[in-house]
Amino acid sequence: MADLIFCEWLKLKRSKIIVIELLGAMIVPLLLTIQNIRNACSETEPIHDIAWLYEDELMFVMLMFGPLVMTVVTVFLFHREYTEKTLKTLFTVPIGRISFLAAKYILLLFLTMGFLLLSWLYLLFFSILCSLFFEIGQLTVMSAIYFFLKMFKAGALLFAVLTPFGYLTLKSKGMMAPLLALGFVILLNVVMSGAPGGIWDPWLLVYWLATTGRLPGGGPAFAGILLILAVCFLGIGASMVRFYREDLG
Amino acid sequence: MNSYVIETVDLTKKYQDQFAVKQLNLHVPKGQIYGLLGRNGAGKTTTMKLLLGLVRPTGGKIHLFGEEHSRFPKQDYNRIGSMIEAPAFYENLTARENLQILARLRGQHRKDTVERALSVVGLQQEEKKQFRRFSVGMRQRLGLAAALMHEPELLILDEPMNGLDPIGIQDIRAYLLELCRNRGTTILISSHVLSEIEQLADRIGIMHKGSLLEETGLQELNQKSRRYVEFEVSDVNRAALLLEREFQISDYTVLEGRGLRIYEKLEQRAKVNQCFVAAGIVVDHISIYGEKLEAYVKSLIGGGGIG
Repeated sequence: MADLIFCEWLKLKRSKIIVIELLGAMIVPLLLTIQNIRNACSETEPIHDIAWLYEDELMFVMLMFGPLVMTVVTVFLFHREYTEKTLKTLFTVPIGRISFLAAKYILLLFLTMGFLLLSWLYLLFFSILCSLFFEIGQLTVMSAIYFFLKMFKAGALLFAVLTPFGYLTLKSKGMMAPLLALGFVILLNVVMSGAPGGIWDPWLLVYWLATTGRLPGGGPAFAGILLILAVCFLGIGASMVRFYREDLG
Repeated sequence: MNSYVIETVDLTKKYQDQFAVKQLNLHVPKGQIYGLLGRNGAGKTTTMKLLLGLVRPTGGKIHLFGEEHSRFPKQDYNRIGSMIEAPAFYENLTARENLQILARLRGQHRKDTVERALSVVGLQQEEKKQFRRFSVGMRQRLGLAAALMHEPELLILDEPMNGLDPIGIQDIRAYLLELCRNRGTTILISSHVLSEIEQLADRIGIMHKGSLLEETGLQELNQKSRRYVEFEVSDVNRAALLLEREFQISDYTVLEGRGLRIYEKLEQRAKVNQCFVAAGIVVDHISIYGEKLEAYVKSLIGGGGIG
């Protein structure tokens, strides 16, 4: 398995998807920083402290930009084997289909965690830069560590709800189906945000669990975690069944 | 246990109502080169994919190395090298990196494995070039390097000469022959260039519309599609004597009248003619007859060119 994961990583060398992830992780922190600079320049608007900035970053990343960038990454990971027709080369090497998919999902987990942690790092870096010119409240090592742990948890939760996009890529052998589904999910997040039915939207729940550790309306976390795990394992399981039965090459 | 490295029993692959491969009984003997011939869509590539487990059969059995393939698929793969259709690798990686991935997945951790494979196919100078910048011929060579890298006992090659220049074809042909003759590697090869198969194969299988029409040794095929030179001479008895004495030709027949049909050493027909004339035998007519492999295959499957 270690060799499979290493090979999955090696396949990304010189790949544009890494650039997309690196730049994608910068967008939200950069926009929040620009807003804070604008506030600092204005007489009326307050300068946001680091906790406010991280909470906002979590919201934008978990509900919109994170799913967007990471679905593109997911589609790339799974779809490239079809576009580059490499399955026939790989599967004549003795590797198992299930192990192959497992390695892909493990790499996706690493990349998703990487995306969230990069977002954390970018915001910290931009905030430290800004603090040279104006004061940003609560910018301490303790708060940085506190939000690092929150982002770490958020990364794992976001990965859990990405697996259905992996399945859709394998099922459709194309990009359209997962990207359309992503559009639906982002709209669903907007519609369900604040609505009572929001507790049934796993892509919204990951945000709530990452930020508050509770369900919308204050319900217990374990019900939400169960729903998210169900989505995660359904996505992985369906991918494996689909891929196992498929004729390759 | 038999001496066949590949043996299929009624191997069948059906897509909806259409048979891609129909009750195929293929026999590839150990240490030989087996040429698979057939037109586009005959089922050659599907057969190879079935053998490699890329496509799941609808029916029938596959025996590889004397064992049923489904029992030990992973062990079998370690003994097989393959190249199916156009070689496919990661476009953003170099030749070396692509081979490193395959070597690592196979558990080959020796550093020189990749270098050796690249030098065999003459790509050592291009090891740093990304696959996306490779020409068709270079892609083909890298595909062969990947197939040969782990020194397999069985090679399954689908149109391996496609896109290679004449020198490249010669090099690869010589290498495949060397592998087979000196190392005992069994090779299953498909090609639309019949002359390639003629120069390489010990046995051939002719496929058409998913079925195997004929499976035979190349020598037997040469017997069936025998070429011969026919002489019409004034003295058949003296001509026959000269053939045996001067040219050590024994494979000939005397026809009714003044005809003499020679089946061997056809390339010496001009010298034979000179010899007859010098001996005072009048030669009225010389003709060369017989089918080439291409004509024979066409006669089996009908229609135009194959490939």
